[in-house]
Amino acid sequence: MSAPARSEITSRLRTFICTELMQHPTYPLRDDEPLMSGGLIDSFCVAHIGVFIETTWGVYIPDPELTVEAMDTLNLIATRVQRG
Amino acid sequence: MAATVIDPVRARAAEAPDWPGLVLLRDDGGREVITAAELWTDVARAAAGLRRAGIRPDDVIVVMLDLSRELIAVFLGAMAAGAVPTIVATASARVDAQLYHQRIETLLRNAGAAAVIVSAATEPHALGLPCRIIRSDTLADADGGDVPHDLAGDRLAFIQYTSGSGGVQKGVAHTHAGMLRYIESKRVGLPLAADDVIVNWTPLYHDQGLLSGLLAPLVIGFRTVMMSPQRWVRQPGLLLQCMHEYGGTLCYMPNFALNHCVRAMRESDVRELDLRRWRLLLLGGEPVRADSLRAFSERFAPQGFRESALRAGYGMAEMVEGITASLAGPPRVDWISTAALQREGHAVPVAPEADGSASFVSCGPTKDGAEMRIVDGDGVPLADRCVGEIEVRAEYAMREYYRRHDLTRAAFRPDGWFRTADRGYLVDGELYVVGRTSDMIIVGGKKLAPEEIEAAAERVPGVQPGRVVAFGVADRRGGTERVVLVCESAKPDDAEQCIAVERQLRRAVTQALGVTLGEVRFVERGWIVKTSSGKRARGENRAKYERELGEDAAP
Repeated sequence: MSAPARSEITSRLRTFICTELMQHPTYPLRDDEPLMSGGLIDSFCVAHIGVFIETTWGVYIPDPELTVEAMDTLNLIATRVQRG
Repeated sequence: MAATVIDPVRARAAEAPDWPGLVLLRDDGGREVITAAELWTDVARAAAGLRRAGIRPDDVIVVMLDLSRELIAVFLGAMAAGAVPTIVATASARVDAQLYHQRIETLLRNAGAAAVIVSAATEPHALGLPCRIIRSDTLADADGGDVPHDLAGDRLAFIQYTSGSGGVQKGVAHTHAGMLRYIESKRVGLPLAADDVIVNWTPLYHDQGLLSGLLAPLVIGFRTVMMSPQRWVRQPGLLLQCMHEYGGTLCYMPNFALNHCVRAMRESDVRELDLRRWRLLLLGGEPVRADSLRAFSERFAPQGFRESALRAGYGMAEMVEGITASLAGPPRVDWISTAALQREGHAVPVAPEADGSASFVSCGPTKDGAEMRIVDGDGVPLADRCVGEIEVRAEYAMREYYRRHDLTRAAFRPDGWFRTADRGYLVDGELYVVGRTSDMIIVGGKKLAPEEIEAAAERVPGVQPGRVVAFGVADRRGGTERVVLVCESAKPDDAEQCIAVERQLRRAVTQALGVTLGEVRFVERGWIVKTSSGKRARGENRAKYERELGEDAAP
C-alpha cells in the first residue's frame, strides 16, 4: 500500500473528529488547533482516534504514545500516521 | 475482631506475609506487586514519618499524590497514626493551575488541614498553599516504629470531598466502624471472598475506587489490580487484559465505561482474551442504560463474558458508596410510558420498545444495613411505581459533612433519612432512578455543578453575566450525559464570530473544570428562561433546548 498523502490524512481525520467525536460536522477545525487542551474533545477520544487510525490506515500506535500531549492537533496526529 | 480498617492489614502481614495482594500498573508502564508484609512495612513507616513530622491524631492531612505505592502507604499510614487523610485529584495539564490551586485552598480551609502531602511531581501545584507541605519521600525514610493498637472504631477514618450543588465542596466524613459495617454488607451481599480478584481503574479520590478498589480488598482479603483512570481512558483494553491475566472476577464501572470499552477497544487488543472467570461487573456512579449493557455483553461474549455478570447499583459517597445492588444479573429492565411519567409522575408499564416508552434499569434492592423509600414533596412515603425523591438510611451513613453542620443538618431528616436529591420509583423493593431534583450534571461518573460551568464561561470576554446557561442532556452514544452550553449573543447568525467565541468558551471551561463541552449554541438575546427572581431556570432551559435546538427538535 502506497503511503497516503498528508492532505488526505488530515482531511479524513478532520471529518472523523468533527463528525464522530465532536458531533459538529461544520466545525472549521484548524490543523494546529488544540483538540483536547482546547476543550474540543475529551481525553477519552484519544483511544477512539487510535482505533480510527488502525482501521483506516492499518497503523497501530502503541499505547504509551496515545497521550493527550502527543495527539493534541491534527498536525501531530498526521505526522504520527505518516511515520507508520 | 477488627476495630479499624487498618487492623486487617496488620493482621494479614503477620498471618500471610508473602500474599501478593496489591498489583499496581504504573503510568510509566512498570508493574509492582506488593505483598502483605511489604504493605505493612510501608504503612508503619508512613505512620512513623507523619508522627515524626508533627502530625497528631485527628489532624486532617490532604494527600496530593498520583496513583502509586506512596499514595497507598500515606493514606493508610495516616489512618494508622490516628490522623484523618483525604485524597485529592492531582492537577491535570488540561486544568488551569491557578484555578486548581484556588480549589485546593478552599478545601484546605474547610478541612482545617494540618499538612498537604506531595511528591516531586505534585509539589509545584502545592507551593504557596496556606498549609505545611510535606514531601512523601521524606516520610518513607523514617524507621517504622510501633503503630498504635488501640484506635477506637468510632473515630474518623477519612474524608472524601464531593462536589455539591452550587459548586460547594463537601467533605464526607466516615468513621472506621461505618466503613467496616459497609464492607461487611458488601461481603455478604455480593458475596465476596478471598479468591476474588478485582481489576480497578476508578480513582482513589472517588468513593468507588477507594472502597471497591482498595479498602474492601484489603479488609476482606482478596487481590486488587490497580491502574490510573488516565491510563485506562487511553488504553481501555488494558483493563480486559488484566482481567484475563490475573483471573479477574470483579470490576466496577460507571455506565459510560461500557460504551467506552465497546467503541474504543481495538480488536487486536482483545481477540485472544479469556473472560470466563469474570463473575461480577458492577455498574454505578451514574444512571445505567439498557442499551449500554446489551452492547457490552454482545461485544465481549466471544471472549466468554456472561450477561449474568452484569449488576447495577445506586449510591453516593455519603452512604460510603452503595445503598442498593442487583442480587442477580442481568438487572431487570422496566419499560414505562413517558407520557404518564411526565403527566402524573407514575411509572406505568408498557410493552418493551412500545411507542412513547422509556426504559429504566433496576438498581436492585437495598443492601444489608440500609433502607430506602420514595417520598413526595412533604416527605410522605409513596406507593410502588409513584415517582418521588429517593431517601435512604443506613447503619454505615457518614458521620457528617466535615465542619459544615449547616449542610449536614439540611441533608438529613431528624430521624436519619438522607435526602438524595435523586428521583426514582420502587417496584417490589427494587429501585429505578429516573432523574434528579437538582441541576447537577453527571458526565462519565463525575458530578458537575452547572453554576461552575457558567462562571467559567462568563469569564470569556464578550459573554455577559447571566446570559449563558449550562445543563446536561442524554448522550446515547457515550452512555452518559453531555454538557450543553447555551449562550445569548447580539449576532447569533454571525458564524465566524460565533466560532471565535465558541473556541474561547470551550478552552475556558476545560481549563477551569477539566470537562469538555458537548455542544455550544448561540441564541438571540432574551432566549434564556429566568425564574421570577432572575435566576436561570435550568430545567426549563433544557426543555426549551430539546424542543427548539436538540436532535429531536421540530424543524
